[in-house]
Amino acid sequence: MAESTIALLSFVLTLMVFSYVLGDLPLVGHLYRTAVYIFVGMSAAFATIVSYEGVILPYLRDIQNPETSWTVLGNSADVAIYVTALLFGLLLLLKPIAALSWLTNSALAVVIVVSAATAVVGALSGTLIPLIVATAAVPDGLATDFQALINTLLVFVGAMTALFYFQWQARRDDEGAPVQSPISRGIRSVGKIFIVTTLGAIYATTMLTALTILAERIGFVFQFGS
Amino acid sequence: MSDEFNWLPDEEEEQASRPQRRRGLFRFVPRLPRLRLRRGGGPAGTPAAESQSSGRRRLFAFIPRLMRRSRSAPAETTAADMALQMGERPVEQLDERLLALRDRAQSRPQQEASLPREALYDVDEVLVRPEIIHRPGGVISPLAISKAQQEQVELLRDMVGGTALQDDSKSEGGLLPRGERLFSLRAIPHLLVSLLLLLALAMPFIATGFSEGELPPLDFHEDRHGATTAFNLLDNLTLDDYVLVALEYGPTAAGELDELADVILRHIFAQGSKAIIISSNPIAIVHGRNVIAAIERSVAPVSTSLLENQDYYLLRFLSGGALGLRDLSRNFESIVSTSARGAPTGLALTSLDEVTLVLLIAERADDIRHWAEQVATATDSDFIAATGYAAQPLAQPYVDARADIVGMFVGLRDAYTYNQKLQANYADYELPPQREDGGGDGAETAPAATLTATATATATATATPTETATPTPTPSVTPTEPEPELVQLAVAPAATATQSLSPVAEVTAPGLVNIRRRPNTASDILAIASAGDTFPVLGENGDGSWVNIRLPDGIEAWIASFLVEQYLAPVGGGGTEDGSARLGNGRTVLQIGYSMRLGKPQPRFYQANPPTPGDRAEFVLLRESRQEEERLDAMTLGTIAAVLVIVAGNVFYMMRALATRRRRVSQRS
Repeated sequence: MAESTIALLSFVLTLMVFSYVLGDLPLVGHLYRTAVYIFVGMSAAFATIVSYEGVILPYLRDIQNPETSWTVLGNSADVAIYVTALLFGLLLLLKPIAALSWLTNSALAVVIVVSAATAVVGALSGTLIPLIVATAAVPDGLATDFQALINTLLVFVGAMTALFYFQWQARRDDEGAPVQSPISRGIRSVGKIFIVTTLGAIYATTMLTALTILAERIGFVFQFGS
Repeated sequence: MSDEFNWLPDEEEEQASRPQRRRGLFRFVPRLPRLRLRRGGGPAGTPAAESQSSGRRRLFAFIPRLMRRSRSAPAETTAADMALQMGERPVEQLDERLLALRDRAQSRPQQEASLPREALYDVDEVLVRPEIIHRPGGVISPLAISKAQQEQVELLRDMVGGTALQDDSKSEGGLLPRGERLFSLRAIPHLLVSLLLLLALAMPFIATGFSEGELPPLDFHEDRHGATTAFNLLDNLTLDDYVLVALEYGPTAAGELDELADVILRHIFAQGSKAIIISSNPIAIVHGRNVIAAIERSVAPVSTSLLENQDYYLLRFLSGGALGLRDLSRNFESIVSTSARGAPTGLALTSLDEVTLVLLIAERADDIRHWAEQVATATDSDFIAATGYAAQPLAQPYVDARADIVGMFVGLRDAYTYNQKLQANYADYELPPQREDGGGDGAETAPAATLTATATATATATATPTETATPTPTPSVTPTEPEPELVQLAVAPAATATQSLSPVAEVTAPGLVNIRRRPNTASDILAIASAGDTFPVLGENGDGSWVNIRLPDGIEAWIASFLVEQYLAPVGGGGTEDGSARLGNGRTVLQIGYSMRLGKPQPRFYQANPPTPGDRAEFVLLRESRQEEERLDAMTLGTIAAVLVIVAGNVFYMMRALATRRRRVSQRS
């Protein structure tokens, strides 16, 4: 009974979302909006519940239990962390008061700086260095494997010309107009081709994802009807 | 500057009152309100300022700005209300600047009346009046406003004195209240394109003759080394291996990535491994739960439900984005100790390295990058990625370049290939027998035929020891039903005459049976037993259809009477020394955990004989058809239709541009 009710609700909500094809008509437009409102509201509510049940409550429980600790430093450190987090949360509530908003900004600054530092360290160790190493590495059998040779050449030319495309320095002629050399214009044109090709591939695959999801919803509608 | 603007504040005074810029750390120190007397609350020279400059203290400096804002009267909170109040004031009460503006406006009425389109007639000197372009688009007029908005437009029109907008709206495509205009002829192409795409995608579901193109291959291509390696890693999982499954996708990508999650989780369960599901997206936890529920429904006829915190773990979500992922790699033990419902998971993993495999199913390439940066670099476990088509162009080069990412699955096509390859691997396995209770609720309402067969077998077994006992004329022996079982128990040397007897119930039904909290099928399932499991009997319900038993951990429970055979056994017997219960060879529940939130018992398995890979082949073999073929055909037809629409649109606009150019050339000539 519950499953059939959920399936019926899913069917109705799917049709409500599909009503957007008909446009923003007086009655039909409300169907789409209502479905979106339901989705947004329920998502926010669920996120709140999950945050409370999955993060806050277990933390409160664990800091009271001497046998459990969220950190290797023990329960006293847990309590200190909890008090700090609670203090930061209270500082966020002071944002509407202009005279005290600097406290809120200070709390936010800590979060932003720590996040940025974590992201930078992760990007360096996890993306930049591995990608540089991978790009600079010569594939095995490059001299004999023609396909690997072509791939390596394409990667090199594509990366270099695409980077050169975003180079905006130019000399000025006697009248002050910016002038680039024909070589520079040629390299930029090649880089533009790679960029446009990449954007085209992204667009095509995005469309493929949209078609996949649309086909799934249409299949659900037909499956529900049968 | 003219006299009518002499109420503006003096520049020097304004600079003097402006706080000076502070530098360094002093910027973060709050300013203390200046306690000084000030003569006059407004700029000097204006009547308003003179009326407010009564020498009173500026106590407002102590009041936070928020409270000061709240002092405004509710009727003056909006510009429209203020305009209405100003419009109702008599001319005598207007101050000088408003009187000057009024005189100036009244001095030019005839001139503006001759320009009906000059809605803002007095602003052109300082502002460039933007043109309002009425261009119908979409199915209805693009600028539909509500009745309240229309009233505000009328109010603004009254304030500026123009009537041009009303005239325009009556002509074509102007501002119209919602509901007056439903359709525009120019929207027909948009509607046709939408219907064409919908029709193309729907046809494969309607008729089988629209299966254009080929389905994906039954095995990964040789050039997809990463996908083949990733599949082999999952296929080599063994019992009690832990797989960290990260679901990083929302509702919009669920239609594509749920398929990948479903087939990979089935593979993990069939191998006897355990999935630890985690996400930094709370909504993704819903999808994880939905996928698990779908798997449970499909295997319900032959197998028991997957048990949370035993077969799989649904962890609390990781808050904080990259910080949460870094926290996962550093404080793995504490994070995996809590489930999504806030209950303890019982996981005894201390490090991310204890996880055999990390599988990430992500919607965006950025998610793959974040996990690779924060998690993959912190563990030696193998890392597999999966994503949709939209993220593939950006994710594939990244995955290929990272040595620690084994491989990647992409979209519905790889999900189809994965399933075909998996079905081929498990083709030689057999399904376990059908569950006696049919699985799920109502399990104990089994057909009467099963009960009859069990009773017949019992009667046959009863006859044999009776004949054996016949040569010995022992008057004390009563040929009752429990007697044969006593003979049967005589096999156990521990059963002596000195021991007292107590009733026990042995599960005789093949397959797995439910043990419930109350004697009805709607009650919670506390345990799941298999044939051979024996429990002490505490009693029966009124009609004898349910038997009250005691579980090994002392909790009372109920089992349907037709699923068990009751007999007397020595206390301390029954297969266990403590007299509680004897375990069969199958999976038996021994422990019951309690969720902190609901206080609802969560059954847990104790595996007397743990399954080996392949023992749970039903997770693969009973995968329901999810219309993969129809969806793939629909994608092909939809792609063809989309390309046709794009090409036709480009040809149309190109032809129109050529015609326009030709017309301009002819006009010039």
